[in-house]
Amino acid sequence: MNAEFFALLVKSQVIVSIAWVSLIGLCATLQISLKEKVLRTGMFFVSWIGVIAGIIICLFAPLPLVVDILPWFSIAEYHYSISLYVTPMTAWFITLASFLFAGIATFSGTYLHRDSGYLRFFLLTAFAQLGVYFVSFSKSGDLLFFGWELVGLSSVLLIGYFQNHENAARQSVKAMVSYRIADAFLIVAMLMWHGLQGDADLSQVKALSGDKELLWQFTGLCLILGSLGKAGQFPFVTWLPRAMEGPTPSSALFYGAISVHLGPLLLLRTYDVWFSYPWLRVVLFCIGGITSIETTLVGRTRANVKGQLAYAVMGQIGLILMEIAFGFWKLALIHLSGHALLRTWQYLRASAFIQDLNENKELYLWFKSARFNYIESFLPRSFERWLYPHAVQGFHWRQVELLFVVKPVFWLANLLKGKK
Amino acid sequence: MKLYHDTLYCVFPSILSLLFLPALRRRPKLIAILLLLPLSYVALCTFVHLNENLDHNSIKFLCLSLLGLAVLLCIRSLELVDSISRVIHIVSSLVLLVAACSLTMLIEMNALLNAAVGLLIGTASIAIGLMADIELQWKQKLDIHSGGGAAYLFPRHSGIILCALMLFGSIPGSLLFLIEDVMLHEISEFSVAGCVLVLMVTGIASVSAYRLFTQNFCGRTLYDLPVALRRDPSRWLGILILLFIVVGLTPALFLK
Repeated sequence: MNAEFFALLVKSQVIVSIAWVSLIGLCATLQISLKEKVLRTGMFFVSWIGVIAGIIICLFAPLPLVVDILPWFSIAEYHYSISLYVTPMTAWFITLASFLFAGIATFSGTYLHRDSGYLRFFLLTAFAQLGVYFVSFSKSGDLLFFGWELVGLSSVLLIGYFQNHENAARQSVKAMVSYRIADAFLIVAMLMWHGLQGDADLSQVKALSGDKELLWQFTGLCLILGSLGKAGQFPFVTWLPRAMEGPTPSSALFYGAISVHLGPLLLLRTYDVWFSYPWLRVVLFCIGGITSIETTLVGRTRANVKGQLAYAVMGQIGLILMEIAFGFWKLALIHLSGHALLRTWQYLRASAFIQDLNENKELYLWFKSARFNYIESFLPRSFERWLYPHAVQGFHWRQVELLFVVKPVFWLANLLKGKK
Repeated sequence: MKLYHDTLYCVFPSILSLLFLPALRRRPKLIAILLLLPLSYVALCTFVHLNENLDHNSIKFLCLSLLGLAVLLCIRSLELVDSISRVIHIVSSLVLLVAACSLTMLIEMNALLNAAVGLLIGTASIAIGLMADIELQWKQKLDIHSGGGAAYLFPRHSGIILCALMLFGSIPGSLLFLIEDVMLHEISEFSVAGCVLVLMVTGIASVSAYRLFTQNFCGRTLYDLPVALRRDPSRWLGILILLFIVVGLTPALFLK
């Protein structure tokens, strides 16, 4: 098997995904109804192509591998092409993601049976799958940003999936605001990278030292801040628990498995840009640490299963970021994979939690004993009592957001509208 | 005028085809605004290109003023009650944004910018046309204004409007992606303040466009409304949009 064969495998993954999105999109636009079985089987089939191709690439391909698909467009000195760059890390991530997409296709087939938004759900999931391919495999920063936005948009629209729920719509807008703020940092990072290097080629970073070192550091900082939005890390900690308004399969896929882990993946992919600056590693470590502690404490006070899971996800991703800051990227990748699989299972079983407790005695006994073995029980009682009300309030972070982000913008909007 | 061929090529067919909708035929003011937007963009760019003796600072001042105005329009759109005027605010701010970017750019890029303006106004006019249609139906059959939850009654309308809003508002591969990616590179070399303003406009515009959709189409549905109210557009509208994308958008994305 030569490099051309593996290039063909990589291309086939992306092209099949594009064809699948186009097919569902065309049917949705022309109002052609597709049977539930066709949608379910189609997504399952597309995902398994990804899994099989991914396993073959991981095991046998001469990695890293560069695959040029087509030149997109070129204006003046700007040349945009759809080129892919496959490393062992990204090949593994795609295999994992495709496996989870296949599982979600099977679960959603029955979970959303006869739901009016069945086609919409599968269309948005197909968009997300394509976006994940671009984020993982893109060779240029521009294509990565394209995929990043596709995943973000599908995520927002799936939070607002139940269109007759007012709260779902409101929370999806809030998630969009968080995404847009974080994405602004990412686009600035790509812009700086493009300016410093001449292109935002993720396969090589040409020079980090010299008179432009400060600008490279700023680029690294923007990359870190840009990755925090999707990962639900400090200061973007409030949107993820609210995002549980969407259907359970989408919560599992986006907020347990794929979307939230794109932040660490981005940092792993752009390792060369920021890792050589110790202060950036300290910043990342502190962000991960603060998020882990905060979300663990807040998560303990939540009464609903999906809310607790959301905080637990953020806490674990904080730990993954700390591992990345230390330079343990292999450990981070293993942690990320195990975490994604576990959380997907937990989200999908969340609605049957009480049934599980009743049927599984061992789980019941573990749950009873684990409830009182939390690490904060070692804290002084008075401190614990002081901490609890603040944790219930999410350490007042929503109020801070409201005061410094939302209110000023709407105050200005009302002022411009002419309302007193 | 040949320079602006792309803009006019994209805009006029889509606006004219929307005249099939009775709601738009009854509101000529809206058609006039939609037609005036590309014309004012063309006029502004022509003015700058004809006055080559304008110095760098004047262009910079003009560019920053346009961007500032675009930010204000975008922010204003967040709190407006009338959905159609909200779309007009968003689309106007984005046209101002493209116009500001076009002042700073290389002449080779104008084809891209013109196509972007064409795409922007074309998709916005689809959204406006369908919103006006829904409004007309609410008023005619129920004698009330729409109060959210319209997705249940107008599922196809809502899908097409969402696509249109996303296409000009925030979807990657659309105008905002081009602005954020291509235009931002150019404007960053011209002015850092301009760069910040561009990011503000694109961010607020996408949030405002999506918020507009959720406020009108999502939420509690009035299930007791007569089912006869449903009068969604038939397949021709889907075909029209496909034609618009194939004829108008694709050449813009594959510019050489």
